[in-house]
Amino acid sequence: MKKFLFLLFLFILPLLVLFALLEKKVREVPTSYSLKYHQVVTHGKDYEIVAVGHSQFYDGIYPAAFSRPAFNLSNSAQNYRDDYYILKELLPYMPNLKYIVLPLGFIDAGASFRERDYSFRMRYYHLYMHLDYDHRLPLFYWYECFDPKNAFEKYKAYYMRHEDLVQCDSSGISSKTLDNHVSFKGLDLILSYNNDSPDGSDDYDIIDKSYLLGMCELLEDKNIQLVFVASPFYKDCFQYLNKKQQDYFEQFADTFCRNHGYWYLNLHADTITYDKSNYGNESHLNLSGAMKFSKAIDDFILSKENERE
Amino acid sequence: MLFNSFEFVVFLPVVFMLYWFVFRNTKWQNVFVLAASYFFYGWWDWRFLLLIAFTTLCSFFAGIIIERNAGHRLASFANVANIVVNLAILAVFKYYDFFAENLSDLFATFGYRFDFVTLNIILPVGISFYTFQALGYSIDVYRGQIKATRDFVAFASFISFFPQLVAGPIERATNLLPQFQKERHFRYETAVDGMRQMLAGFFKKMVIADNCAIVVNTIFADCQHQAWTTLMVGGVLFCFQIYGDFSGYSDIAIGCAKLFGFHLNKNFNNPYLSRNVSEFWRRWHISLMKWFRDYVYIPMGGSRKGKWRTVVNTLVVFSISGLWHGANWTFVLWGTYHGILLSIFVLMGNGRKYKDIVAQGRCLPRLGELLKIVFVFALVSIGFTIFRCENIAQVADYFACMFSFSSGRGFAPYWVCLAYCGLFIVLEWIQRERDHLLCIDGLFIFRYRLARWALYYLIVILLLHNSGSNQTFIYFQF
Repeated sequence: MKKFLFLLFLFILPLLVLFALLEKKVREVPTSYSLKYHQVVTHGKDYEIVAVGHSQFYDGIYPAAFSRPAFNLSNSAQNYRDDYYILKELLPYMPNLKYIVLPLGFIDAGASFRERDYSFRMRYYHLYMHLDYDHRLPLFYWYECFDPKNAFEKYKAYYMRHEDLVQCDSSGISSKTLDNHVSFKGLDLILSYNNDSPDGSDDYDIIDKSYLLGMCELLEDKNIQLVFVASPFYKDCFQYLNKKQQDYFEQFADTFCRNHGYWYLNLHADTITYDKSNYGNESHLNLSGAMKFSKAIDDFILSKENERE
Repeated sequence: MLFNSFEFVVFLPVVFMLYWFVFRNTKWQNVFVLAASYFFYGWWDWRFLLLIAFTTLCSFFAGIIIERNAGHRLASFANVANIVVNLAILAVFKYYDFFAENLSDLFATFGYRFDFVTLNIILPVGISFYTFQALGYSIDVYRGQIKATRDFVAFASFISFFPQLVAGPIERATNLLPQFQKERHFRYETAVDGMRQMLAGFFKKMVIADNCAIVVNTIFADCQHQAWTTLMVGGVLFCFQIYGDFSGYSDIAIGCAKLFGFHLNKNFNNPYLSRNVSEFWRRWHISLMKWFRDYVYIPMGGSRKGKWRTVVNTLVVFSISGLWHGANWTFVLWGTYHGILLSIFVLMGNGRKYKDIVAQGRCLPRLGELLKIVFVFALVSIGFTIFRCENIAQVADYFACMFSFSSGRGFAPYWVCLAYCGLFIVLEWIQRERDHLLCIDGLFIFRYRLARWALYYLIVILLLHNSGSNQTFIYFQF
C-alpha cells in the first residue's frame, strides 16, 4: 500500500503543479469580467449611469456617448439573474449612481415554463466579479482548471497566440472586438431568439422575472431610477421574429413601466435611425450603431429629467 | 455522480483512504461501501435511494423465504412475487408513460378515446441494472445455485456497489456477493491494474466517445439536409461513441472495483473485431446477454427444441432486450433487427462459430477475416443508427436520405473524429488478447516504468486537452 500511494503521489505531483500554474496564469488573463469589476471597484464613485444586460447592450452601449460619467457592465448572454447579483455586489462601489439602464426587449421574453439551467458563464462571474450567488454552485465552477480544456485554450490564445481576450465572448476566449463585426450570420442567430411555447400557446413571460423584480426592489431602496430599453433589430429580421413573443414583451414592458414609474425607451422596431452600416450582425450594433444608440438613451434620460423638472 | 466529474475525483480518493485505513474489518468495510454507494447515488437525487432500498429489502427477504421453503409452493410464490414487484417498479418508472401513450394511440385508431393519465416521472438512473441484479439473486437462490445470505449489509452493498450501480456490469450474485462476505486484501498489482483500466476507460469515454458525440449530435439533429456520405459517417461514429461510452464506463467500474479488492466480470471483449453477429453478441454487453440467456432464453427452451423454436426464442429475447434499453419503439426495432440477424445465422448453422478472438497468435487478420469483420461492423452500424434515432419517423428519414444518395449540405469536420476512431481500433487490435487497453506489462518498451509513465501522462494530457464536450454516459438513461 505504501508503495502504491507513494508512486501515485509521485505521478500526480507534476499534474498538480501543472494545474496550479495553469490556474494562476489563466486567472491573470485580462477579460471583460475581471476588468469591468476592477474598473467599478476603483472608479465606481464617478459613475452616474450604468448599463447592465446581455450582448445587445454589451455591443450597443458606448459609455463615451453619454453626457455624464457612464459605464457598461454588460456581458455576452448576461441575464437578469446575473444582473441582479452584479448589482448586489457592485452597488456599494457606486454611491453617486442615478440611473441603471436595463434591456427589456424581444429576447428577454420567453415561454413561461422555460427554465434556465446553470450557465457555464457563472464561473466567470464567480471567479472574476466575486458574485455571491445564493444557491450552491457546482464544484466545477470553483477554478478555471476544473474546465481544463477551456483553460488550456484560453492560455494558448493569450500567451501563445497573443490574442486580445478583453472583449471576450461567452466562453471568455474570443478576440471579438466591437468594430470588427462585419458579417451577417444568416438566420440561425435570429431564430434562436424565438421562444416558441412547446404547446403553441400564448403563454409567455419574462425570463428570470423574479430576478428582474428583485433588481427593481434593490434599486428603489437606493433611489436609483430604472431605465428600460428595447434594442433595435435590423429591418430584415422582423419577418422571422415570433409575433406573439414580440407582442408580449411590448405589452408587458408598457404596463410594467407605467405601473411602477420606470422609464421605457422602445427602439425595437426603429428601422429608420439604424441602417445596415450600424449593425455588426442582425441583432447587434457595431461601434457606429452603439454611438447612435447610446446617444439616444442619453437624450431620452435628459428629456425625462426635463419633464420631471 | 458521474465518473467524469470533479466530484468523483474528490470522492474516490476519500473513499479509498477511509476504506483501507479506517474501516479495516470486513463488516465495517461493507457498511462503509454501502454508505459510500448511497452517497454516490444520492448525489444525483436522494429520493430514489428509497427505491433501491425497497428493491434490496424485497429481494433480501424473498431469498430467505425461498431458501427456507425450498421445494414448497411458498418458495415459488416468493420468487414470482419478487419478480413481479421488481418488474412492476421498473414498469411504472420506465415504461408506464410509453405504454399509456401507445394504448391511447391504438384505441384512437379504432375510433375510441381513452386518455390515460401519464405520470411524467423522472427515470431513476440505473434502475434497469440494479433491478436485474436483484432479480438474478432471488432466481439463483430459487434454483439452488447460491445460498440465501443472512448478512443484510453485504447484500445491500452487493445491490448498490457504487462502481457498477448505475450502468453495470450487471453482476451475478454467485460472483460478487461472496466477495462481500470474505476478507479483502490490498494487492499492489491489482490496484495498479485497476488504475490503468480506469485510465483506459476515461480515454474511451472522454476522448473517443465525447468527441464522436459532438459530430454525431450535429448529424442526427439535421439528418434531412446531410449528404448520404455524412449520414453513413454519422452511423459509424455513433458505433464508436456508444462503444467508447459504455465500454469506457465498464472499464472505469471494473478498475475502480479492483482498487477496493473486488473483481467484476468483463462486460466488453473487442466486439468490433467479431466475424459474425453471434460472436458480436458474445462480446458486447456480456453481462446483460448472459442475464437474458440464463433467465429468459434457456427457460424458454433455448436452442434445445429445434431450429424454428430457437429462432422464435432468439427473436423474443432480442426484442425484450431492445425494450430493456428504453421505452421507445426504436430500441424494440433495434433489438428485433439483431434478433433477425442472429436467426439468419442460426438457420445457416453459423451461430456457434468463432469462440476465440480473431487472428490469435498472428499480427494481422487474413483477408477473409477482415472482410467478415467489416461486414459485421456494417450490419451493427445499421442497427446502432436505428438505436440513435429519436423515433421511428427519424429512422425512416435517416435511411431514406442515406439511400437516396443525395449530396446535401457538406459537413466536413469529422476527419479528426475518424482519426481518433482509427487509432482506437488499432489499439484494440493490438490489445485484443489482453484484458483491457492499458494492459501493457511486458509489452514492447513498456517493460520500463519511464515508458509506462510517459504513456500515462500522454493519455492524461489527451483527456485534459482533447476531450470532447462533457457528456453524461449514454447507458445512464437505461
